[in-house]
Amino acid sequence: MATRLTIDPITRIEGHLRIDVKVDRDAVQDAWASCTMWRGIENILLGRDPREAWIFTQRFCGVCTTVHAIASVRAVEDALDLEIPPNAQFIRNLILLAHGLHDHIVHFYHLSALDWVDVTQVLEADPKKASALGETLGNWPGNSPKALAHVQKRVKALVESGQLGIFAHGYWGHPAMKLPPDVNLLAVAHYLQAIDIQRKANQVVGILGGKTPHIQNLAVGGVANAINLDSLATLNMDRLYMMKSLLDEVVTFVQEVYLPDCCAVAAHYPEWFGFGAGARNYLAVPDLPTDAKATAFDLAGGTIFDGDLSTFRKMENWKDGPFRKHVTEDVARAWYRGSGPKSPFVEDTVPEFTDWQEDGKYSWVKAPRYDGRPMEVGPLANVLMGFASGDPLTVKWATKALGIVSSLAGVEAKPAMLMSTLGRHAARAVRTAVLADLAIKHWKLLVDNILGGDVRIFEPPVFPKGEIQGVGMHEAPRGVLTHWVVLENGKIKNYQAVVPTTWNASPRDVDGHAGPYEQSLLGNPVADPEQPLEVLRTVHSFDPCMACACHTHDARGNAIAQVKVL
Amino acid sequence: MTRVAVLGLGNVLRRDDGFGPSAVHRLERAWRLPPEVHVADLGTPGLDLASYLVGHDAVLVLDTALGDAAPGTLHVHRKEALLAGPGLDHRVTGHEGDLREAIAIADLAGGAPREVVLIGVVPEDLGDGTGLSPAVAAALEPACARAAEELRRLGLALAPRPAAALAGGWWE
Repeated sequence: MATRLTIDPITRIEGHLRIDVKVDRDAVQDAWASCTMWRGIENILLGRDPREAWIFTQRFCGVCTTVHAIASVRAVEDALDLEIPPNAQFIRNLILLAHGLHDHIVHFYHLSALDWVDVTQVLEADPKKASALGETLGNWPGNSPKALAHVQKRVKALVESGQLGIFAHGYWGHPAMKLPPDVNLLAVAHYLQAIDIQRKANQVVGILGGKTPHIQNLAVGGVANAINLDSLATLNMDRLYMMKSLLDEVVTFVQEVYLPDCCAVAAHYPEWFGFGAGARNYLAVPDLPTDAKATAFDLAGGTIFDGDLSTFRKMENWKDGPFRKHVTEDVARAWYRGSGPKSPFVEDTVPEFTDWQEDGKYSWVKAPRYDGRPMEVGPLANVLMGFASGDPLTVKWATKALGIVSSLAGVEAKPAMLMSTLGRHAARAVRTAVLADLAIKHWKLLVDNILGGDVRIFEPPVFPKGEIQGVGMHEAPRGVLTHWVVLENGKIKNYQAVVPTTWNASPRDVDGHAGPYEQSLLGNPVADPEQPLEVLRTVHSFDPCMACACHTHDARGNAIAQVKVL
Repeated sequence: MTRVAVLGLGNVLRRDDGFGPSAVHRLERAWRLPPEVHVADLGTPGLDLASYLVGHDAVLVLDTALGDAAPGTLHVHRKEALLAGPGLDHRVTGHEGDLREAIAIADLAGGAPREVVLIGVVPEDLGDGTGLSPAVAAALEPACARAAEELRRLGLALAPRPAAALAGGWWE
């Protein structure tokens, strides 16, 4: 008989992802993704000056502040057809690259690794053997037997203190945990070292952005980083080299530790390359422009349908006509007034709450569609576009990653395997390694441009009378982020943010097509409905981001997450 | 030297959830703080919070705290009590990191502050929009006074600024 399972992380605090699944014969037969928080935050922008919108939009999300700031200034610049100076382009790119490196490292180690890594197994490990294994994976001083023995001691103290339960996502001793103790020790050691490394990536954001979180250096028309190589108070060679040394360390960690770790973990769970594929339609937007006019990009964008790379259509630039025409949002099954697909330029956000209804409305997330199809966005989509467009960096790092998996697992790992739960993690590691190379490249582009005598950073915007509209695009860590703005006489008339998690966590649409999370869960194994680790593995592989717009500490002592088995 | 961080948590676009950022802005304007005090409006950082705890001897956190008491009521919790409380059983999205888990991660990494003090206010309205409800706005002054008292207890010297220095954040 089918079991009905609701995973609702929060019973008292609003604003979280809820997953409902029907489980039969130890596998998911049907799934519903729902967000429990009304998200009408864009309404706060109506009537405001578009030059200050980015300051508000970077508060949409607590973790990805920067990405909403960039998408906002790009949207207004797109509406004005405003070309920004090359320095502004490169400084923004460096901020995005450093943020992306930070974000992916945090996701792998701190937000999802414990789905696969059993901390308690660390106590069974042999630090010398773990160190020898680490040596074969990458060149990193943190893999020394002494460093690993130190980590083992700390974990032992934690276990003995009885505070292990604080790690909310730990499934210690779950039968689906399969890593040998030595791999667990390496992974936990890197989990701890990653705290320091991600902070270094964030420092680069802080140096350029003035502070982090919540950068201060953007402007519609460019950036506010005065450049003068002879001044102590501006962006000068000292600061540029400080950033370079921070980036060098982060690059080493990503390429010598994160990517090999991800592959070593994957090699012990090869069956997870067979689950979680989902919609198999992929969408990415071009990003990291290498010129002022944004005609050439280091990250490829486009569409791929039905998991077939030969269907790749490249998006040449942000003015792409089909993208603007084909992106719609549908609220047939979401708690808003209305039904069928509408362009973000004209849609509204008027709540119409019902209960959670399996055959009716059941989520606060709208359903974005591309030409009527649900699309997966994120690192996997980004890496597939890189493959399809023949990007040398993507091919280099994907080949390396698949090679490590093949040699450790003793099976031949193929690019098509990336379309899976585990493949999403591998693709994210590949993307991070690509971003690491690009961070050094864009640092050089900036330095070369400045040393060539160009110190321009800003092109003043001029707002025309009448109505204009624009789209700001960014290939963010979680995928395609677009801000859609309509301006009338220099004021904001409509503003819609279509965020990555909206694409991936979307509910069904007017035609009944399930969203990417929902499709990815079909056939997913569930050994123990009380401990649905396997469902969480697939959902986490997308790196969901939904809760962060509202943060409240619960001092009442309620259990704030639960699994209900009906 | 005692290194201290004062961190404001919360979303300024969700009414009373902006209490933490508002409180740290007010604290900086009301007092001349010594350089070893690092004040930051962190918004809603999720588990990134852990990296802002590391490297400090003591951390004061200003935040909203759900409770059954009347809106505007202040709750003060210390590290030991926070760690002993219940937390998330299952993480569905990656960003449900709570303060206690951030402390635990910092502890495991070996850099957790010896002291953590949460000064939390019971919110009334967490809807979309800027500005605090009157009951929560009235708690700003006592929350800052409490934070100042904790800083003095930690051995830091504070000097009051003239009342005219008090002003709201950009979102108000």
